[in-house]
Order: sequence, then C-alpha cells, then structure tokens
Amino acid sequence: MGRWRAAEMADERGVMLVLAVAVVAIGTVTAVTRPGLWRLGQDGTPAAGSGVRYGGSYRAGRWVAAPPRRQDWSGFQGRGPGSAK
Amino acid sequence: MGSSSLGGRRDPAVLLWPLASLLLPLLPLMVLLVSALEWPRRLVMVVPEGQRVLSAPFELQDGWLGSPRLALTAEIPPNSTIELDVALLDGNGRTVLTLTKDGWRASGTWAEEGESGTWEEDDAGLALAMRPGQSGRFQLAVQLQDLLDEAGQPLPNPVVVRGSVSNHSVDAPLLWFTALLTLALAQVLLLACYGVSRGRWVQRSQQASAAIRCEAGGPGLLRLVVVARWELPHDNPPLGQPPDPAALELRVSDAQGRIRLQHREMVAVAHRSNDGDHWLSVRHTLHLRLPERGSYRFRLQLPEEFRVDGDTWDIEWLQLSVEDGRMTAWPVSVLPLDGAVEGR
Repeated sequence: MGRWRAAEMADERGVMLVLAVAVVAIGTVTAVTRPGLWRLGQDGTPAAGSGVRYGGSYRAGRWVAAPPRRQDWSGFQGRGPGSAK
Repeated sequence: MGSSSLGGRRDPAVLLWPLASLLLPLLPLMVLLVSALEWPRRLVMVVPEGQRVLSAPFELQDGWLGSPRLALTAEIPPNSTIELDVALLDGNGRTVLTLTKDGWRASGTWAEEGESGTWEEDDAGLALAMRPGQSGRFQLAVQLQDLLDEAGQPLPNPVVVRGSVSNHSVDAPLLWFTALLTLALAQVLLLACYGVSRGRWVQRSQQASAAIRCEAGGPGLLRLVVVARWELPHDNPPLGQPPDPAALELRVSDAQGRIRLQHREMVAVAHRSNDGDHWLSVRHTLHLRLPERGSYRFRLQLPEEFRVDGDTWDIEWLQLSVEDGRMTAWPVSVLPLDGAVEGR
C-alpha cells in the first residue's frame, strides 16, 4: 500500500515537471518565433492598432487598394479599436 | 522504491530536483532581457502638410529569431487631431502596404476633494508587427493629411514623426504570461513534493502533553510539529519578561510498548500580544526516520505553566501533529531511533 502510494506520488511529480517544462518551452518558442504573425503578401493585413486603417489588403499575393473612404473622421472619438472606420 | 530513484545522492528523504523547477520561469524572462538589448534603428521625419516625406532606408529581416517591429509616433500639440498616411515601400520603391492613422492628443485639468492637477492622454502612435516575406531594404513614406485643433481649424505644421525599427522583437506579454504560468506550475510541483505525506494525525489537548499512536514508517521522514499556547488567568498585561527556553520532551515507543526514543531539548518561548491579549507560544518541528513500518506512539510534553516575575502563565492548548513520509528540499537534523541504523 505504502509503496503503491509512493509510486503514484512519484508519477504525479513527473507529470507536473513535464507539464512545467512543456509550458515554458511552448510559450517561449511561440513568443520568439511568432508563427501566427502576418507576412507581407499573405492574404489580409497586419493586426491594426487603435485608430489605424489599412488602405487595402492582400488578395492572392497582390495588394488591392480599398475604395476611397468618406471623410467621416471627426476627431476626438476616444480610444479603442472601434473609434474609427 | 520511488523515493530512492528520484531522490538525492545520499539521503533518500532529501529531494533536490524539484527546486530546479524554480529556474524554469527565468527562461522566458531571460529571453525578454536579451531582446531588450537590441538597439532599434531610429527614424526621424519632419512632415509638412500635403508633402510626402521619405524616411531613411532600413532593413527588415525575415527569420524566426524574433520578428520585425515598426513603431511610429507623431509629435502633435495638445488638444489636436492628426490624420497621417503611412506607406511602406520596398527596395524598388514599390508601395507594399498603406495605412492611415487617426491620432489625437488631449489635455486638461482636474479637481477633486480639494486637490487638482493636469491630465494628458494621447493616441498618436502606431506599431506594425509583421514579417517582410524576404529580408530586404524598406522605406517609409509619410504624408500629413490633417492637423486640426479642437474646433477643427488647421494648426501650424510641420509635425515631427519619430520611428523605431527593430528586427528581433518578441511577444513580451506572452513571455510574461509564460513565466507566471510556469511559476505557478513549479509551485504546484513543490507542493506535490514537499507538502504531501502518506498519513497525517493531529491531536489537540487542553494539557501540556499529547500522544498519538499510529501506523507509520517507511520511505521519507516522519515530521512532528508541536504548537502550544499559554495564557495568563487574568486580562492584565504581563509584568515581566518572556520566560527562558522551555524543556520539550518526546518519547517514542513501538508496538510492544518498548521505548525507542527519549529526547529532551530546550525550545524558545515567544511572547505575543494582539489587541490587548497576551500569550506565550511555542512552535517546534522535529524529524524522525522510521525505517520499518509499524505501530508507534509519540508522546510530547511541555511545561504546564511558567512563573515569571509574578506572572503565572497556564497552558491553554497544545496541538501535536504527526506527518509520515515527508520529503525535504534540504538536509534536516533527524533524531536517531534506538535500534535503528541512522546514517546521519
């Protein structure tokens, strides 16, 4: 009984260690390589910050300019990505 | 046995390797530190209204060791708005990306509960994180469309736009998150290694002694923790100093009642007080190694009372806990058991 419990506890520790190593490896490698980052020529546009409008987007490897926009920017609309467009 | 295969070199009850897990959260923080050492390329452009201004050429590298990051900030006066067109040009001067930044800067004064001050908020910058597809030289073309005051009237320009280009930026929030998550996992691991026991028995007594008989022994150490409290019979503050160390007596007997250990040591007595209450307390931990599993009785005794400078402190309660199969991170002093082979 005691030996069985000790072996079970050792297994849990091993799983916890493997989990911690996996988390640190996956998180660090993802943060450095950033596999989901937009690449020039890829469909769409990079992620837009607040108040940023792209003048077009990539489609099938070509930059397609968006149609001219109405001048509806009235300034001081506050912060946040929904403030313009 | 699981403990000996996982354990330290000499003492199977000392587990060192889980402590190494505390180094894991340092890895993402080290990456963050190294990435902060990259000195970004600085760009400065003076942009008059209506005129397209080109930045100095800069290189964007494609690779997996971090990623390019372009940041631009327009220096605009307080209480103004700006519309800035930005284009990214490749080495042939071809436009590969265009965007417009609607920026603003606002300031004012605040007054609250007799205090006042000024506040300022702005959103006049942009950051572009992307990969160029293939490494090469690029340029930025910046054009000022509008620089208006609060009333919508044009403001005197030009505007200074400052930029920075780094090629090996990393995802800092993800690295911080990874470090925190790994730290939490490491703490769970430490708890699973040093905070668990095969069995735990607790006895609380109104006297200054307590005894527990239990089935214990095997891999790991047996930990005895005693906590005791003495109080004055009245509510008056104590007259004298805290008492000298007190005698603690431990007796361990086996299934046949034979005494296997008789131990006596002096333990420190602390004087504590809180909100007008005064008491004396002892908290002490002892470690034993019981190589053979069996029935053992642990009896622990402390003084029933202390007489110090006219004060008589009486025992209020004593709590004894026995935890079997404990692992430690550091070597601890272990009481030798009579008849048992004790390595330390």
